[in-house]
Amino acid sequence: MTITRLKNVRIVDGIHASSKPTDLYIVDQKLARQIPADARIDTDYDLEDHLVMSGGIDIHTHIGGGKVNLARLLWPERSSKSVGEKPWLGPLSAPVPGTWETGRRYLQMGYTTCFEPAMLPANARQSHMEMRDTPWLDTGGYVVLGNDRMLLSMIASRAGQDQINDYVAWMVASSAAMAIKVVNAGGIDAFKFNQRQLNVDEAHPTLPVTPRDILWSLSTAAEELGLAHPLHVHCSNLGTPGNITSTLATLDAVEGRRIHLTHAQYHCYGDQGPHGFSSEASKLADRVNRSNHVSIDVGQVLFGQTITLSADTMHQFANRKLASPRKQIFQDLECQAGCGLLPFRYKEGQYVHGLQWTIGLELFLRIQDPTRVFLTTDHPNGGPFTGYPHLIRLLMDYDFRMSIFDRLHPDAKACSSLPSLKREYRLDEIAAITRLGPARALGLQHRGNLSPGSIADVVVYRNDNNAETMFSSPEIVFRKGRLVMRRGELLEDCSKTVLVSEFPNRTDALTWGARGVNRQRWQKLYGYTPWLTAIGSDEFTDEGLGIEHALWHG
Amino acid sequence: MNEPSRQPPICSFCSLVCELPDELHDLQMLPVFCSKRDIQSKRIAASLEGLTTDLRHADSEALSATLGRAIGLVRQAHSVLVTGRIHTVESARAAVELAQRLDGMVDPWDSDEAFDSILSMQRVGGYGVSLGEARDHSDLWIVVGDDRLLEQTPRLPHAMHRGESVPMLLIGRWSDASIQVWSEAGFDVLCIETGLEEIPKYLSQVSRLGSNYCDSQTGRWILDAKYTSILYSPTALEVECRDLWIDLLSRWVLNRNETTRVATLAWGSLQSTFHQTCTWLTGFPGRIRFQNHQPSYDPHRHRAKDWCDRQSASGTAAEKSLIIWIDDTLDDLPTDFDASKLRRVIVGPNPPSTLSESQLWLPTGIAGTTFAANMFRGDQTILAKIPCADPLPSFTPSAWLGRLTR
Ligand code: SF4
Ligand SMILES: [Zn+2]
Repeated sequence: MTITRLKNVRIVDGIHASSKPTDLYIVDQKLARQIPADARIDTDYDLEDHLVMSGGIDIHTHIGGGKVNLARLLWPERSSKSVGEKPWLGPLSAPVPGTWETGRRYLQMGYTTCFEPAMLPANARQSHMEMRDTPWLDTGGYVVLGNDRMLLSMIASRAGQDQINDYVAWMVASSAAMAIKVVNAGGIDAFKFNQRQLNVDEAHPTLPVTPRDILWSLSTAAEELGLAHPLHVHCSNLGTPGNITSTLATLDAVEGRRIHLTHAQYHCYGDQGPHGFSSEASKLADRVNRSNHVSIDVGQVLFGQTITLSADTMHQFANRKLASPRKQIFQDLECQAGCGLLPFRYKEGQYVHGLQWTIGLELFLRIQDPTRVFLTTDHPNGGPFTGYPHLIRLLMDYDFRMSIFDRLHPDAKACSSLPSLKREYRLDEIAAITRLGPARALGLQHRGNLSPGSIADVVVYRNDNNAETMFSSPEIVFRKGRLVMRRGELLEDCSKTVLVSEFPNRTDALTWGARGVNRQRWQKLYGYTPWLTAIGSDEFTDEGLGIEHALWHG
Repeated sequence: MNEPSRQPPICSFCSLVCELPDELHDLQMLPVFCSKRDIQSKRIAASLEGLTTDLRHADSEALSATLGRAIGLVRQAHSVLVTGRIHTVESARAAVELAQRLDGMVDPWDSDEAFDSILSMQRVGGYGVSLGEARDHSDLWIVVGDDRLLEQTPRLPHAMHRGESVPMLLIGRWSDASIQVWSEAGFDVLCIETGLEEIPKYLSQVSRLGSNYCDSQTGRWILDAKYTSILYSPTALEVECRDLWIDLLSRWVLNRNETTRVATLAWGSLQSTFHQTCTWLTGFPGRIRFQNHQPSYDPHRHRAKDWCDRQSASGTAAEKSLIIWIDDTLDDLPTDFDASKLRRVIVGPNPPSTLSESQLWLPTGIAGTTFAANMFRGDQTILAKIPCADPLPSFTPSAWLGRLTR
């Protein structure tokens, strides 16, 4: 037994509100509040004037898979800026860096668990492989359904929900997924038939199926199967003025079942104002405040160069002229979905970009329960994940927020309600939006908190009035009980774990592909057997990865 | 967790990674005949028994002596190139990691065609489609290239066909036998023997003129199609400036999608597995040199063959240079590589013609035959796991590369 004591430290995890310094113990890989009186302490850290949080959890960040790799390919340029003495404080080398850099930079910020939110079933092995090569992070992925022709035809032919559940269970299990993601339900497939828009109650061009049908079927499947995380939804009409209507319709479509709306900032726009583009953040926030079954992540915009990437080919293509520099990649993929990538620069002085920035912040500030709104930039879409410390400061410091607000386009300032939102996040609320909330939404009981028995992913920050300084450079980070980083310096590797959703009929689910009729239909559609893309558990264990099953705890 | 009980074996001899039905158990799948597989299997069968026996009974003392000498060469080297024919994620990962540890350069030996495609993608982008999507959805195929495409991936026509007749424009230099293969696979083929250089221009003209002015059958097919897939392989595309040709085609495809649907399927070789893996690890597709363990990318300067020429030309640098050659194939060493006089360590199933203090061999089995491996299908959407029932895990390129810097 190895015991580490963190002495005189202030615990901030959103559950335990200790204002007084206390001691926290790491016993092997787990946390403890007490140890036997005669136990020997192997290492002692006196951490007066420090606070401790659990490892950060990013519920939605594009870190692995075909389109992520295309984004890397699309951006070979490297900044000639010198990285200086503390490279972990500088910008990423590219909007989407390689896995080595991604893992290192997340750890240097105190993040330890990250989720790739858009694994194509056909490409899930690549997604997991990239995440396997992302050091220091435990990872998982959400499988993209809802534009897969097999599901659409099942819904169109009015197959029973049981049949749909079986199919969905197979897709989740054979992709080793944590959750189901739906992107512009039906819209990606509709675009393959040259349809350029699809509203929630509009039928697919060739099948009698609407996005509402798809959302209903998939949210029902997620709930009836008992998946840890609810349906993870990228709504229809991404980035389109007036899309608040379809976003609220999306929430209605699941008829009270649990739902997570992702990068909600891009989905609460009105079409009012001087440029036909306005904020409807208050409408969405009101709805979230009234609905305990809804969580969101924000997808905050941060100013600067990035690459936007999405499975939503329909809307990415519609925006292709906005690419800066002017190059774009799109793909239609395997009767399941697609992808679109555009380099993009968010500018402070640009009306729409400025307003997007305020809309994200409005969501953070208007949603009252910090365990149901999560901090994301939808990396790299709104900006790089390395902007999180800056974003935390925006939330914690009204004056700082306003100092940036002042630089926005005059029309954006004139029509924003941001100045009236005086709320400043407390540290425990930051812990909730970056740790506790995501962990609960994902069914990860032993992560995201500092309770006894939880995994000893521990981050120690030195108190600082400037939250950006504090959160960009933790003093020390432990992964599974071992000290892996001190002031930006990486000390040792750590073992890695893949997170997958457990559910009651998981083992049965894997027999779906072997059943004659399923296998025949699969082969007819794809030209190969269901096993070509299915991932076997040995594929993780052979690579030395652990597997952790997440459970829905009700 | 996931235990697929009846996965058919997968062929790893080309980037189509075909599933091979087990005829006894698998009445749902048609038996596969493939000329390339046939030849390769015979070659492998001829050498496999000897190879596996050699590996299983390898003289471990002799091998560790060779490894010791190889480590010595690595330590003496001032400049290292990691290259070869790298076809699996495992080899690619090991190659890139080794280059990083040694502050060396890494680039597959024959990466010119792939880089024409990559450079075009980095300049212009494009609109692509995966094989399964194109197979299910296309109402017109345009296949550009020549007979080599069928030599490289003989079963491609069968893999593209969904079981109903679909029109296909076959453009380029195709023999009667090849045209027949495409027709027999079920396509309604119209073959146009034309200069490939002109294709992007021709497509632009047809779409500009529209159906009122364009009354050729080719033009009508192109204009009437609701979803066109344009297939080519950079390794079977005889045009003067391949990268610029791809630029023009990609621009046309991107613009054409403003009104209708069309996409390209640029079929990659097995080496695309290297480019994918290198991209996710480092952010770059290859042609990188590490300095202080950080990659720097230069697609024009960090080319394996140019590095060899530069190092060979300089007497003192040549003595301190080392090539680490990784081979996932049974093929003979390329003659242009063989001609280089630089020191080298060959990691692969085939011994070089001569062995000496400056040319060492670390023997491996064969990817997908004596060890499991992950390889990309040519559309780079599916990463197939090629299982292996009876692996020889210590004789893989990645195992050797790990030992070289231990
Ligand atoms: S086409 Fe390629 S993968 Fe398929 S059987 Fe022939 S050699 Fe093997
Ligand atoms: Zn996203």
